[in-house]
Amino acid sequence: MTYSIPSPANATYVAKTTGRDDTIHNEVGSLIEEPKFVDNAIHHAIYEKANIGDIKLNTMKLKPPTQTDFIPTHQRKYIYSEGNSSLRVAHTGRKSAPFYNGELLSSTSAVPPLIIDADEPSLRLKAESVSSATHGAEVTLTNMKGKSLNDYGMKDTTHIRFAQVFSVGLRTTDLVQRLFKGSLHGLNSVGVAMPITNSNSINGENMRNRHSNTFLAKDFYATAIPTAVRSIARYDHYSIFHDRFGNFIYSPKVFKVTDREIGQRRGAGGAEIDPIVASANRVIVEGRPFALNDTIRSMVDDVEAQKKEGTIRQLRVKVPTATNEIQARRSANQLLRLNRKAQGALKSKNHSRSWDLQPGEVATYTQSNIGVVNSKQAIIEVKHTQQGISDFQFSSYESGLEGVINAFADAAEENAEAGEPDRSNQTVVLDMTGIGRAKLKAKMHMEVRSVIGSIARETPPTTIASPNTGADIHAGFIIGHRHADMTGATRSAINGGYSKRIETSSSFTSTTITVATDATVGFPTAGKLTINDTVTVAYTGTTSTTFTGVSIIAPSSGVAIPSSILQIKLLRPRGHEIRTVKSLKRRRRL
Amino acid sequence: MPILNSIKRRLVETLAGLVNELHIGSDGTVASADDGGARTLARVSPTVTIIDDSSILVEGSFNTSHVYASPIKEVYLQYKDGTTGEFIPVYRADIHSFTKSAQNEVRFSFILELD
Repeated sequence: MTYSIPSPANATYVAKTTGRDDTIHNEVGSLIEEPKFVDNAIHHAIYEKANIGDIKLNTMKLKPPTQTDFIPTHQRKYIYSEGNSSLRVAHTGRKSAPFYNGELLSSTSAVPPLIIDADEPSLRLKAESVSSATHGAEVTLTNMKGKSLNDYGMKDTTHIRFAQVFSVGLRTTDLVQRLFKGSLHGLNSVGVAMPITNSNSINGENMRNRHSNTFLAKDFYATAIPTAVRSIARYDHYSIFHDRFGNFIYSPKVFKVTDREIGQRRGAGGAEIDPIVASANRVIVEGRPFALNDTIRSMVDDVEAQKKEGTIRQLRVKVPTATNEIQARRSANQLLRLNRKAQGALKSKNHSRSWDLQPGEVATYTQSNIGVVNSKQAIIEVKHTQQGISDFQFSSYESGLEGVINAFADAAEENAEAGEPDRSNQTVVLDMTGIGRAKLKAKMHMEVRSVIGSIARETPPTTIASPNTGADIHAGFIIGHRHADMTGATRSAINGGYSKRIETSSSFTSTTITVATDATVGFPTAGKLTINDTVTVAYTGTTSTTFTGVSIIAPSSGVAIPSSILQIKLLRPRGHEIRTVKSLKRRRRL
Repeated sequence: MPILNSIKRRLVETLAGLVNELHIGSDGTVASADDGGARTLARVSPTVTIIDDSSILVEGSFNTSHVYASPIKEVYLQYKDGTTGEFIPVYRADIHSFTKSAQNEVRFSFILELD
C-alpha cells in the first residue's frame, strides 16, 4: 500500500530531509518542535481526534505536547535510607532534599512518578506522596505490604533516580497491517475500515479512515497472525471481520448493517434468551503494573443488581490498557454495563431462506412471543444446514458489545492472590459504584395525504368598492371572513359574498345597458351580471351610465336581454371555495 | 439505582433545544447509530413541544410546494448552530420510499422519550 503524505498548508522545512528521517519529518516537524542535540530522538506530540467545538470528528490531528505531560529527568543519582513503606532521599554527600521538576521536594511539590534503581532500570517503585523531613525528603511508597526493598530484589541498590516511563510503539492499526507485510496469505485486502456506504460517508472521511490512537510495541516473532491480531485487539478494542469476498477488516465497528429481515415472518424459529457471557454483578479489572509495588485493580459492583439477585457474581478481567486506577475503574464500569446488555442475547433456530446471512451482519429480527419486534440484532454465530435451515445466535447491536466476548474470555484468575492490593496495613480505599440508567427512545410517526386536485384560489376583483350609503340591500348570505375593521370588503367562504345590485329600471340596446347616472359605481370594469334573475350576461366595460360590450352567457339559447330591465345583479365569483381536494390520510409508525 | 425524574425533566428541556431541523432525503441506506447525516432534499424547522416530564414531540410537515424527482427514502433530525455551522445529528430513519410531488403532503411526528 502506498501512503502519500499531504503537505501542510503553512509548512516550513525544519530540518534536512536526509538521513534516517523520511517525509513524515516535515509533516510532524511543522507542528511540533524538533528535538535538538539528541541522537535516536523521537518526536513527541499529542495525537488526538480533531474536533469542531465539542464535536469530535473522525479525523486525527497532531498537537504540540504540554509541559505537564512529561517531566524532563536528569541523570543525577540520590542516596536513600529505607523506612517503613517509605524512603528518605537526599543529595549524595549532603542532607538537603533533592530537586525534582524544578522544585525542592516537599509536601507541596510534585510527586515523582517512579523511583528507579540507578544501576538496574527494571527495578522501580511507585511513589505515593512526599513529606518534608529534617534531612532530605520522605517519599512514601504505595502498597508495600510490609515488604522491604530487599524483598523486591533491590538488595544491591545504593543510589536511586527519579524518572518517568515512556513507551514507544506503533499505532495498533498500523501494527496489524504491518503483520501482513511480506506474509503469504490469500486475502484480497487488509484494511482498517468497513466498506463505505452512502450514509456513513456524509461527513467526508467519516468511516473511511478508522485508525486507532493506541500505540503498542510488542514482539510477534513466531506468533500466528490471527493470534497476534487478537492480542492487539485487547489494547484498542477493535475486532476482526472478514467478509465473503476475502477482505480482512480490522475495525472498531465490525457489524455491517443489512436491510434483511428475519424472524417469524420469514420462517418460524424457536427463540430463547441465551446470554453470551456469564452474568456478573461485580467486575474486577486488572491493569498493567509498571512498578514492583504497583497493583492496578479496580472493583466495580452493581449494588442494585446484587441486592436484587441476592448474590454476588464476580468476573475478573485483564485490561492491558489500564495503567492507573482511574482507567481500570472506567473499563470496569463499561464492562459491567456491556455485560448487562450481553445478557439479552438471543438464540433463534429453524429459519428458512436465510442462507446469505453471515456473522458480523446486522438484521432486523422479530419474534413477538418473546417480545422482540423489529429489533436490530447482530449475528455473532450462525449455522446453515443443507436442508436450507439456519440457526442464529444474536446479540444486541451496540457499539462495544462485540468486544465483550474477547474481554471476558481472558482468565486472569491465576496469581490473583499474590497481586491483591494490601488493604489491611495501609489506608483502605473502598470503591462502591452504582449504575443508574437513562435510555433515550425515539418513535416516529409519518402521515401522507394525497392531494387529488389543487387549483389556485380565485379572489374577487379588487375594483369593487362598497358605497356605504343608502338602504342595505343584501344579495345573499355570507359565511366566511369579515374584514376586521369593516373598511375593506368582506370575503365569503361559501356562496356569493358582497354583490352589487341595481333595482331601478334600466334599458338595453344592442350591446349596451343604460342605467341611472353613477349607478355603475361599485361594479368592476368588466364582469358578469344577472338580469331579472333570468339571464346571465357578460360585459367588457363601464361608463358612469352604461355597461358596454354586453353578451349573453346563459342560458345558451332561447332567451334575449329584455329592452326594459327591472333588476341588475353583479354575478361575482365566490370569495374562495374548496379548491384543494384531499384524500384520506395514510398513517405509518416507524 | 434510578436516575431521578427531576434531572430527566432537565435533560428533556435540554433535548428540546437540540432539535431544530427536520430533513427529508434520498439516501435509502439502512439507518444505523453511526450515521452522520442525510442526503438532504428539503428541510424545515420542526415545532418542538415538551409533552411531559420525559418526552418531547417534534413535528414538521412538507406541503404540496415540495416537489422532488428523487424519491424520499430517509428522514433525519439534527441540531444546527446557525452562527457557527456546527451540527449534531439527532435521529435518522430509512423509510419506504415515496415520491414527494405536488399531489401529496406529508407530516412527520417524532416522540423522543427519556426512559
